[in-house]
Amino acid sequence: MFAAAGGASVSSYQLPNKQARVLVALEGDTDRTRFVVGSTELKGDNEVHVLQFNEDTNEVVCLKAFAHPNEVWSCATCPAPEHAELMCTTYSTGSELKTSLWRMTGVAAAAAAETSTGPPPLSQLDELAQLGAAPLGEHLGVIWNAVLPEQIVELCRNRLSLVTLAHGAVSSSTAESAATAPPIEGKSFSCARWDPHHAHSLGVGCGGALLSIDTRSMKLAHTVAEAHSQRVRAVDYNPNKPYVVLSCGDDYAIRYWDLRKPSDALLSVKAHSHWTTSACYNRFHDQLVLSSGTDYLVKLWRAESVSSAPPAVDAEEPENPDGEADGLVKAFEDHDTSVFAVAWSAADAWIFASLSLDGKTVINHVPPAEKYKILL
Amino acid sequence: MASGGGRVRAASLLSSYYGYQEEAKETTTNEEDDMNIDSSAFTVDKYVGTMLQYKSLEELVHRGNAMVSEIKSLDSDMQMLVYENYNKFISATDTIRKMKHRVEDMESQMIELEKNMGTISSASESVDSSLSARRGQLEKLNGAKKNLTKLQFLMDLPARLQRCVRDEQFETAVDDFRKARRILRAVGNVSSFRGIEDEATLIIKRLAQVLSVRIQQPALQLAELGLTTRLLLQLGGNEAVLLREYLGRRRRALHDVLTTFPPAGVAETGSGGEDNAPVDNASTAAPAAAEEEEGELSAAAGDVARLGEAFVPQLLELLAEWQERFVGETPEPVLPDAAGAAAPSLTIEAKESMILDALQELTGSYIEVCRRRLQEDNVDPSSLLQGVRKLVGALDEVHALVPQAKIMQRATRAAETLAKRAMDSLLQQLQDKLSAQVKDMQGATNSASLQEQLHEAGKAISAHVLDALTATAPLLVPMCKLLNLRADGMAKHLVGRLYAALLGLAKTARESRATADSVLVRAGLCLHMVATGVAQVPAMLKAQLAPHGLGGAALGFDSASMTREMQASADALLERFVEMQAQKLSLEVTQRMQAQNWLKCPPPRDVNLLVDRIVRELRGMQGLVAQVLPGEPIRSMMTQGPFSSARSSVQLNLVQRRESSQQPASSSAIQKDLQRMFARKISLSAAAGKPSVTSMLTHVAKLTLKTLVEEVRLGTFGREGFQQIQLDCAFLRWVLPSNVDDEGAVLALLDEAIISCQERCIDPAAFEHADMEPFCEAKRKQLASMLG
Repeated sequence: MFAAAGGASVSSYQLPNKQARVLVALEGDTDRTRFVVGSTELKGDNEVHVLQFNEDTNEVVCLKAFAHPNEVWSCATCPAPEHAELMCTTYSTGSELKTSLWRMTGVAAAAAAETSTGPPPLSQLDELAQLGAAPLGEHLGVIWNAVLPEQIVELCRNRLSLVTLAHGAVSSSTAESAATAPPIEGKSFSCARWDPHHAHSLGVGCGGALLSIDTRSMKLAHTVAEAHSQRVRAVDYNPNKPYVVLSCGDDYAIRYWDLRKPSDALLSVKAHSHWTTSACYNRFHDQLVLSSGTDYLVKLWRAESVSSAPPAVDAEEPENPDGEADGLVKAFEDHDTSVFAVAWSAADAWIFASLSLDGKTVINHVPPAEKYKILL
Repeated sequence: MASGGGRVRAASLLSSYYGYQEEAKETTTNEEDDMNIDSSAFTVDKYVGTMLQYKSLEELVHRGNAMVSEIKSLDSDMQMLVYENYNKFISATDTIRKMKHRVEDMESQMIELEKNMGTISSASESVDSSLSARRGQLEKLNGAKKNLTKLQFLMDLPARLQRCVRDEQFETAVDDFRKARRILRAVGNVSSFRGIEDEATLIIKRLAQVLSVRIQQPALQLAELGLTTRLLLQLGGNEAVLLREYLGRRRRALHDVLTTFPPAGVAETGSGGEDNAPVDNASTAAPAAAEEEEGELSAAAGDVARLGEAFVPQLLELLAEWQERFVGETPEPVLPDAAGAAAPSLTIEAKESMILDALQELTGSYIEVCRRRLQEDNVDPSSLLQGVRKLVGALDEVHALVPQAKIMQRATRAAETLAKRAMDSLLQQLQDKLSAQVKDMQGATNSASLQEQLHEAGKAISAHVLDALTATAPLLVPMCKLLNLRADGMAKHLVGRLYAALLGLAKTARESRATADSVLVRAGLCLHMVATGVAQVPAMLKAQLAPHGLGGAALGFDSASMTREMQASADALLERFVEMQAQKLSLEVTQRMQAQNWLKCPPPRDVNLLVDRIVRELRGMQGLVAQVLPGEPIRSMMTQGPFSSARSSVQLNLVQRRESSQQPASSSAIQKDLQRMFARKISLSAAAGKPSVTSMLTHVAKLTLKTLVEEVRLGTFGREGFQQIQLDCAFLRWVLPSNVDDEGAVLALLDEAIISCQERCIDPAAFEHADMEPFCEAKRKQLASMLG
């Protein structure tokens, strides 16, 4: 408890001898801080590890390890608590990219060992359904709709399709209900995110543009034509403030947008000194934003002025005593190589994990000073 | 005792007569010294004893001789004195004898004089008594004549009054009536006189009515207004009401002057007709202002002057009339019944405050009108100065008359605001010009002219600043002298605004721009300002201010911090330029890496065109940046070294390892350790310190190669794809290091690209180093000929 409050120590977990690009929170489990990490090893064996963070001991324990047939390029876990064991991965067979729906059997029941005793023996994933196949580099992954958990989007560079899942006892069936090609000529999709405020709305990065698509009609709802000068790497919706999104891209920047006002960014920050590979809002406190970059850094940002709780313009205290409302809270220098994934814990508002290409997962806390500034 | 005291007194008298006082005083100071031979306390025994005891024989003899001679000279002095005294005594006796003889003569003459005087006085008495009877008669006659004249005056009064009223000689009428009233009051008990009085009063009352009507007429002449008011006052009108009415009318009249004066049409046509006039004036302004007076005034100053000519005399006249007619002792009201209780006469203080109020209000609006005229946009500083001079000159007289109205202070304050405002607008213009200058600087259309363009821009900026300073010159010292203001406050204001204007330049430069070229040009401009531009400003300021003793204010221009600002802007712009360049190249790398199917591609035949692009882009950038950051040797882009020197140790290790072991699984752990050893953490953030061509080039190269590494890590490669990457990297290894200052980082990134590529390769079979040489050599030649 003290360790967690102090937040001084850093917990890390190393995938044994593996490169890795995929880290997601176990979305369905909102009681425990669990993450799923998948390895990306072209020529070796690949694994998917389910990690649990023990706040009391400040340790990361591998709860369950699954063998995965191929290198994992993308992963999504089911946000529905009753299907917390479901996971979609996109993997390369060496010649093409495939996507499957898996069940991580036994994860829900598994309890974390008190101390880390090394990775447990490998288990097998149950394949429930295969979704699609695409040429190498084409398939970007699956995005699970948190509001309607039976709905997912399969995102390829040149195609976006809406798929409805139906879960049977041993297998699931999938049905594609709608699809669309990139609406901008010569550009391809790069990332997507469901809008938590509008169940049918999907935010998509397409080239340097930021779009929102109404999935019922597959028509464009909003367009930010020049969101970034290069490829958009990630989109995330503000969890508390409709229409406000952030995007990050290969032009090193994180930008905050109000989709209804696409001409100007609300805020633009040069976040990293090379690609900003991902950025996401804290699930509860939307003034906190996490980003990762290929400059080996994970950064925690404060974006209070564009959050749902903007700093009060107080007549008595015209100067913010703690400095500016927006800015860098902390840069975490725990990684030695490019960081491709960051994720907030699904269970705890102040814990997040990051993963670098060399397979090192680091779990960190929001600095207490920042935490108390938000809470008090 | 008594004889002793008398002797002392006689001695002191004598000594004062003979001038011995000084010595006497001296002796009194050391009265007590019994060793002083001149003092009264002198004791012979002690003196002689001491002498005998302490002095040698020779000295004693010497002293004895000296004493003898002193005694001799004292004796002869004494004799002289006695002789002189005797002489004087004899002459005094003679004189007294002569006086006695003459006084006896005088007495007889005096007695004769007394006798004569007695005769004169008796004669005069007899003349007086003989004339006194006639005089009484004359006096009586005189009195009768006076009474008759008065009577005549009274009898004539009604007729005369009527005549005066008819001839509109109201003043005479009122005057007469007042005189008559005094007499009538004395003789009021006689009925015939009462008839006259009633008649006259009636006429005067009618006259008062006429006057009241008359004062209401709007068309009444101003001169008559004062007169009429005064008459009404004499006739017992309500003083407060009347005076207020009077002042009100006068004020209205003056306001009319003011409102109708700046003849909108005239002003418009004035400035519109001679459109170039303000400009011309500006150019001739300095000498004209120096020559002063009567030279052609600018339109605005002319207006102000004309307005002053029209307004101020009237104001002065009002003041004079007021003083003359109303401030003196209140004339006795002539119509007692009309005066009544309703007319409490005003105190002098009240009147004074009334006129002061009016004056302040009027001059206030006068100043306001002038201010508005001078505030118009086309009024340049010198004509503003002229205008203010006219304004102050016009008000000077009023101020001298009524200093307590504080008119001058108001004018001064208005003028000061005007001057500040003019200065502000001039410097705003400067800032706008500077901003426009910055905005005009597009990217180099012709790269050779970049430096020239920068030079031109720098010169233009200096010229603009100088222009602004010259333009504000009349606002500074002459204006302050005119207004008795402290010029250094104004100078400080100027310096502050100038600083702000230049800061605006730095800010404008930093505004985001679309193209990398224009960013670079702006950075160049900022650097130019750092190098020369900023330093010129204090010099220019000093040149303008120092002759007037305001050199101190010029020091207020913080050129160090301005340089810092400019440098900061330049740094930020250079950083942005680097970033833009890097992103441009990165984008090309990304596009090229994603466009190719690396799994199935033909065996490498040539170094990829992408490499061409990178090298050429870096070269172009080198050329551009070198113009902005002059004074740095440009390294030759094309390496001259032998290809073999570019051989990478990592590469060799890896290649050998591949050859020796064919099982990837077993060797992968060792390979990874090896990788980690070489894949050192390379800082990608901009290098701190002074930007240089090479450091900027290095940064762009690093970021581009980093993109290459990351893109390679995303791909999946077949054997030929890997070999192509290997070839490209080998060429870059050969070419790049000589152009960057962080060779290690660049090589490490290239190694990492190859390692990553090998990792992402299904069938990694490396090129032999020697096999790559012909390709690289060919490309080098091709590029060398292309780049010159």
